[in-house]
Amino acid sequence: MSLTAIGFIGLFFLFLFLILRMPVAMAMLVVGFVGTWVVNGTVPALTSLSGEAFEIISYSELTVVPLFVLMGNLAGVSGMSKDLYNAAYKWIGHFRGGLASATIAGCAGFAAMSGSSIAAAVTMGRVALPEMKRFNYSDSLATGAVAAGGTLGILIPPSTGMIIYAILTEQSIGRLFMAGILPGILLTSLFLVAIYIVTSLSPEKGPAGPRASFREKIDSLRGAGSIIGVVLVTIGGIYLGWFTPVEAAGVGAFMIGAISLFRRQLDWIKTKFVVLQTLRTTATVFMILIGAHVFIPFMALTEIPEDLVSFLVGLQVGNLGVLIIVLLTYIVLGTFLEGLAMLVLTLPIVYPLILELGLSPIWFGVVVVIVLEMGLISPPVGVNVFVVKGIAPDVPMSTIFRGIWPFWFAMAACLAILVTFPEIALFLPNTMFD
Amino acid sequence: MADQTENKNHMIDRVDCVVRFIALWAGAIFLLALTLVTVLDVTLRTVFNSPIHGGRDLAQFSLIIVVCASIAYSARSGGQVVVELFENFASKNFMRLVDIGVKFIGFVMLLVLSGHLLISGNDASEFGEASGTLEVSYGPFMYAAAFGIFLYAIVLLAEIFQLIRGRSIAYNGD
Repeated sequence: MSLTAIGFIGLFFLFLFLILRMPVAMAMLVVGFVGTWVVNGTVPALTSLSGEAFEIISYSELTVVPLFVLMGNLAGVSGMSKDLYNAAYKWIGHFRGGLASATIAGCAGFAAMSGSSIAAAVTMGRVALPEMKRFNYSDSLATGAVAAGGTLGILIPPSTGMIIYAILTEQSIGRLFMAGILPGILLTSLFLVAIYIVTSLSPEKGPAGPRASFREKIDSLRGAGSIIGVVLVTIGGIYLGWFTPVEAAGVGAFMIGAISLFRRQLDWIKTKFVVLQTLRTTATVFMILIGAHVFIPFMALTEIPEDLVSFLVGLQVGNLGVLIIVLLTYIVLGTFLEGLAMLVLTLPIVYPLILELGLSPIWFGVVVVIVLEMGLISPPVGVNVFVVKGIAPDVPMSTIFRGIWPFWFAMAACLAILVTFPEIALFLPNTMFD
Repeated sequence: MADQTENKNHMIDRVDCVVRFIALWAGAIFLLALTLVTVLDVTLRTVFNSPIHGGRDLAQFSLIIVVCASIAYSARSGGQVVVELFENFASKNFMRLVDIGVKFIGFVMLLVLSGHLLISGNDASEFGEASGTLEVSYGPFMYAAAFGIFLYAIVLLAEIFQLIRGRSIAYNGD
C-alpha cells in the first residue's frame, strides 16, 4: 500500500473518531501513533509517542501557557474588567452606541491581559450587558458587541491561539504577539465603525448614555491605570527586549496577582477557581499539542501535504487565488469546527503550502487567528455566542446571531485589509527584531 | 438523599476526589513555584545581573509537574476539546455504546503512552539523560508524566464503568 493511501486511511479514521466525539487530542494521538506504527514499525512508533509527549510537557518555552492563562484568569476575578469598562464608559458612553463601543474598548483592554476569547466575553459580558440593558440598548447590538468584542482575546497579545500556532510551526511567540497588536487595534476600530453604522441606521438600537463630567473621566482613568501599567510592562517589555514572552507572562501574572491581593479581591474560593481554571486550560492546550506532535510527523511521512501543495499550486490561480481558497475553506470550516481543533487539524497541511507560496508565516499566523475569530461568532457553533447566551439567557439565539453580522463583516474587512497590506501585521515584529 | 449517598459511592466520584486533590495541591504549588521562579529570575538578572542558577531548569521541572497534575482534572472537568459535528445522530443506547468504544480506545492508548513513558524514565535514569544546567535526571519527571497520563486512563476507565451501568457522565468544572 502506498504512503499516500495510508495517509488517507489515517485521515478517514481521524474524522471518524472526531464524528464519534473522541477528543481532538486523543484522535490525533491514536491516528498518529497507529499510522507511524504501520509505516515505520513498533519501536519508532513507541519512541515517537513517548518522546514527543515528554518533549512537549518539558519544553521550557511552553511555560508561557500556564503563566499567561493564570494572568488572564487573575485579571478576570480582580475587578479590573469593571475598571476598564467604567473608564471606557465615562469617556465614550454619551455617544450614540457609546456603551457598545465601551464594551468593545473594554474587551480590547482585557484582551491585552488574557489570551482567551471566552474569558474576555464572559468577563466583559457580565459587566457590560446589564448596563446596556439599563439604557435600553437593543438585545442584538448588546449581545453582538460582547460576543464579537470577546474574540479580540485571541488576536491582541497574549493569545493562546498564537502560542499554539507558534509551537506547531516553530515560529517565534514574541514576533507573533507583536504581529497581533496593530491588526488588533485595526479590528477594534472596525468594530467601532460597525457600531457607528448600525446606530446611524437605527438610532434606537444604541441610545446615548449620560455625559460624565471631566473630573469623573479623570477619576475613571485611575482605576484603569493599573491595567495600563501591567499591559505596558508585559507587552512593552517583550517589544523592547526586556523580557522573553515567558518572562513577561510570569511578571504579568505576578503583577495582577499582587494587585488583586492589594485590592482584597482574592479570597480562598476565587483563588481555588483561578488555579483550577488555569490548570484545566493548560492541560487542554498541552494535550492538543501532544496529539498534534504525534500526528504531524505521521502526516509528513505520508507525503499528503506535499501532494496537496502540488495540487493547489498547479491550479494556476496565482498566490492570491490559492490564499483565497485557503481562507474561504477556513471560514467554512469555522462554522462547524471548534477553533483550536481547526487550527491543529489543518496546519500540518496548510502550513507547507504557505511556505511554498513564499508568504510570511508570522503574517499568516495573524490571518489564521482572525479567521478563527470569525468561527467563534459564526452560526451554528460559534462558541462566543453560546457564552453570551449563558450570560443573557432571556435573549434568543436568533437575536444574538442577528447582532453578530455587522461585526462578522468588520472581521472580513479586516482580513481583506491584512491580505492587501501585510505590512500592518509585520511592521512591529520587523522593527522589534530586525 | 438516598440517591446522593448512592452517588457518592460511585467509582467516578472517588476518582474525581483524587484528580481534583492532585490538581489543586500539586498543580497549585508548582504553578506558584513556576511564577515565582520566573519573576525572581527576571528580577535578579535585571537588578543584579545575576539570574538564578538553573532557573530555566527549575521552571521546566515545575511545568512538567503542573501539566502532569492537571491532565486528568482537565478530562474530568470537560476540558478536552470535542468536535460536536453531529451531536445526536443516533439513539441514546447506540451513542452510549459509541462512547464506551471511543473511551476504551483512549484508555488503551493512554496505557501504552504511560507504559512507554515509564520505560523512557528507566532509560533516562540509567543513561543519565538530564537537564541542561542543574543536571538533574529526567527519569523521575518521566515517571511523573507516566503517572499523570495513567491517571487520565483511570478517569476514562471510571467513565466507561459509569456508562456500562447505564449512568450519564457529568463533568465537574469549577
